[in-house]
Amino acid sequence: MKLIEQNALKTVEQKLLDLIVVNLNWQALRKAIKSQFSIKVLKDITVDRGNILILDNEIVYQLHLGPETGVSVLMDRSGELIEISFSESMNEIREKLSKPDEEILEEQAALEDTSALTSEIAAMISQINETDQGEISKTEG
Amino acid sequence: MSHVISIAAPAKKTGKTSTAINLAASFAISEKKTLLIDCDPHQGAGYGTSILTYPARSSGFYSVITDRSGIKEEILSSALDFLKVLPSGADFSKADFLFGDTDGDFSKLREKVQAIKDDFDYIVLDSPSGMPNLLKSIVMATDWVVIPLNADIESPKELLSPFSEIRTLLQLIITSGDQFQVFPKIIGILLNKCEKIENVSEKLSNQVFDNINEYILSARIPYSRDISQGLALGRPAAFQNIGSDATFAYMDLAEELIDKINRMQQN
Repeated sequence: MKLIEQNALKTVEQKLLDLIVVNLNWQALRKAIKSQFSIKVLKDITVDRGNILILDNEIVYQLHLGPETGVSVLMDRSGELIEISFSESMNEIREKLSKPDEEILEEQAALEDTSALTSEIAAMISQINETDQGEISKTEG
Repeated sequence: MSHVISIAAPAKKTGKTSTAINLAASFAISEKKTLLIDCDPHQGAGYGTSILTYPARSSGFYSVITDRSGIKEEILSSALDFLKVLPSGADFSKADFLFGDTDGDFSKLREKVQAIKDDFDYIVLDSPSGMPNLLKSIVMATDWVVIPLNADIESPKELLSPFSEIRTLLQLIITSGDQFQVFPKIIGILLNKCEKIENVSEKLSNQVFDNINEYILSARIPYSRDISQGLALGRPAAFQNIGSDATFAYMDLAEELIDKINRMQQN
């Protein structure tokens, strides 16, 4: 005996999962992956799909991270992380979540350039703020 | 004592206009007599219109700096008792050329602002992007400069360009100060759109911000719909939601600037 259309339930469940994804604390998730598995997630990750499951008689939410990382996240109804699981080897996962060496090197170079710039900016602000009328000519000269 | 503050950054999308309008409103809410001068021709059409009391007729600041009208007659009242607004005016996009003609013109904007300086506790000037002559003139008209920076970034690479632009602005202040014997001081760098600031800090480590930490203002402006929607309507976040994080952040900013200006003057 059908009490409700299957599509109606699926639509509502999908909306719930979409809302979970929208409100997901990515920073907390990245930290959890880093602390539990020593993988620094540098690539942009998304949620490929989600499931509503029963675990120990409780409803839990499972999110499969994408694109195709082989990582899934389980959380309870209060939003607490239950576990992060991997369906592939740690090396494969690390490769998928970290950036290629060239990108890391490029970012490191950008970081160094930016650091040099901010150092220069600090010196210029100091010069501007500490220079009284007439002194700029001397320091610039 | 009155203070003229410009919100200046050569780069686009740093939050100059939202900072100017919200900072001016926060000064006014703190019962400081405040004048907001719109010097950004790109925002001119709708800027501040929602907070003006009617009839709101003004030929704008362009009319003032071209000597077609007096500054006092172009200043409009607002819905906030302590806030007056001077719109840019329809022709303000020509201002960059106006100041590019001769060196003498650079001091004109300063002269006009100085003429009404004593009528206010704070005068806040918004500034445009991509108009170097106008920007130079604005900075030379002010006592204090706040430099907004969009902190909504994902990688250090995205900060290279805005920091390069900040360096250009500082070079402009140094060379112009020497040329015109006017020496505005930098109050600090304001981090805007800070939704991801923890993420930013993590990605940049402390290497980048540690260098300029003492010049970064403590107030952090969050990414907020109250700010963006308010700006679209030409009004401060406080008019959208007086109890929002954004409103409190701008009130904190106003308080910090008042305190910092006092301390910098004592030194």
